[in-house]
Amino acid sequence: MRLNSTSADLMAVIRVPKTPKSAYNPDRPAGTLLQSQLKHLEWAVRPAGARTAKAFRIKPAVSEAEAAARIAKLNEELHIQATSPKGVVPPPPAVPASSATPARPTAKAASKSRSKSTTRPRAKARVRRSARRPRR
Amino acid sequence: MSTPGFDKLKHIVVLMMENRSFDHMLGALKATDARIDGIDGTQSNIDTTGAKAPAQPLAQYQGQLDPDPDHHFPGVDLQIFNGDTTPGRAATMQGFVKSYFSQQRDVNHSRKIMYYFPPEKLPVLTTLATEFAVFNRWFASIPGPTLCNRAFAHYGTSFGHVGMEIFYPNTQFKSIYQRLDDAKKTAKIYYFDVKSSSLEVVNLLQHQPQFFGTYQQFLDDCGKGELPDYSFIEPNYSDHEGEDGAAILASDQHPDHHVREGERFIASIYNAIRQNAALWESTALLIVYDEHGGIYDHVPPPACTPDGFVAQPDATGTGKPFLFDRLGVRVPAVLVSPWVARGTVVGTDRVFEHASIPGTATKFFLQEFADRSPREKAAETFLDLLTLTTMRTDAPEFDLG
Repeated sequence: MRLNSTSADLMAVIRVPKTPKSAYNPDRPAGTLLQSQLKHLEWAVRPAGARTAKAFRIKPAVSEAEAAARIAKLNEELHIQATSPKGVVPPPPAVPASSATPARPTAKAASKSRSKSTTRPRAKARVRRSARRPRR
Repeated sequence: MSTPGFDKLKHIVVLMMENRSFDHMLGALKATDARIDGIDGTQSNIDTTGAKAPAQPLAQYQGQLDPDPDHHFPGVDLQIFNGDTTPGRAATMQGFVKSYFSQQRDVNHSRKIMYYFPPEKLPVLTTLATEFAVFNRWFASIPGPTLCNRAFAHYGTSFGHVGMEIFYPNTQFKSIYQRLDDAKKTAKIYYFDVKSSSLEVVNLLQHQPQFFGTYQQFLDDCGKGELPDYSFIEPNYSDHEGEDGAAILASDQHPDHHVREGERFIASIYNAIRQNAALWESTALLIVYDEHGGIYDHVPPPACTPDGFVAQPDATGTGKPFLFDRLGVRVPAVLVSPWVARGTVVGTDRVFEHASIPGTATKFFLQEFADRSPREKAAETFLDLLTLTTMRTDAPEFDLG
């Protein structure tokens, strides 16, 4: 199918095949990226006083699906806070640039791989690809 | 600068994908265009048995880079310097196989870190690269992982961080979104959906939600001609069910997510802009990757303007501080606009990094903005690539079926 071409001349249409359904695996272990995203969102959703390192240990997500569900919940909480005057969490106090000290070593995390293939059965679900045609 | 394309320009759209190196995605294009600094058959590493591990066009969409190749600071240091820690060490790009071997201790598997895609497996990215502008020298900002690199795209710095840690308390430089908003310009980050959300600017997510939209809203905004002045698009970072129970595939191309789904995502962004004639003639779309993801590239990262921050040895994990005076590994970057000449190859004499993104947006929308990081102030900008005096009418089309 061609785009609704306007001023552009038509070139040969390049077909991009659909991704196989077998690619879908919500049980894939959540990797470093998703775990870090969870931590960032947990940080943002907490009151400034609760953002200390000691109070800031979160349970890792086991799978991508679990991470996604938790991310959605945190995302929703942030929006509620942002749109409700009573729920707004004040920004943390600014720290002088000279004291911008990176966090403790991440070497341990670095040595961990993001994910390994799961042997668990893949979820049966209709695959909806993210790359949809834009609405007209 | 004044060219017809520059004068028409109203929108800058940035799509940042995940964890693939230049050679891995675009290196094969050298075979058909010698100006592209890709794979020429001479590139290799030595594996842990002492055998040569050549770069080969055997990359697969999924299942090959599992476990996820190390791309944290110490791992990338090994990939670039091959374990040399002497003061005058040279970046040889000879430690990729060694680094990957350390994760699984499987010699044959470690050699796969050298694999790259033949162009026909990536029809979207390679077509856009050859039809518009491809950058020979776009590097990650830091030889490290995702979040610190993405911070450069939003702030022009990572505020001294080289890892995945939280950096928001030290953001003394304004994000590009805040700068534009202060100047009554519009800017938005489009994350894929609420289950994918935004990766690294959650402080903005909380306090200024007007800066955020979803992928569907991006498509809608393109269709209605309501795209902000500046847009940053995030792909889907996980396999998960949508609200209707449908399975949604990750489109970020982070190993071990299926690369073709990312191809389709890139095409959908391009199509959305391309379909609206007014938008198409007034938009520049940059497609770029946040970092190399531990995958082989042959170009040594160059030195750069120091950032003014110092990451301490306990943060770098190498036993040495890092002065932010050297870039990360090279990544794919493509600029799309009907005002870019077909087959533009940005030469090796121009070095770009992610600070080039807020640097370019600031230069175009605000002209001057003093309070920026040294890295951003020194960064190359890319809108001079809109050189044509007549708008092209031969833009490619992608059929997503």
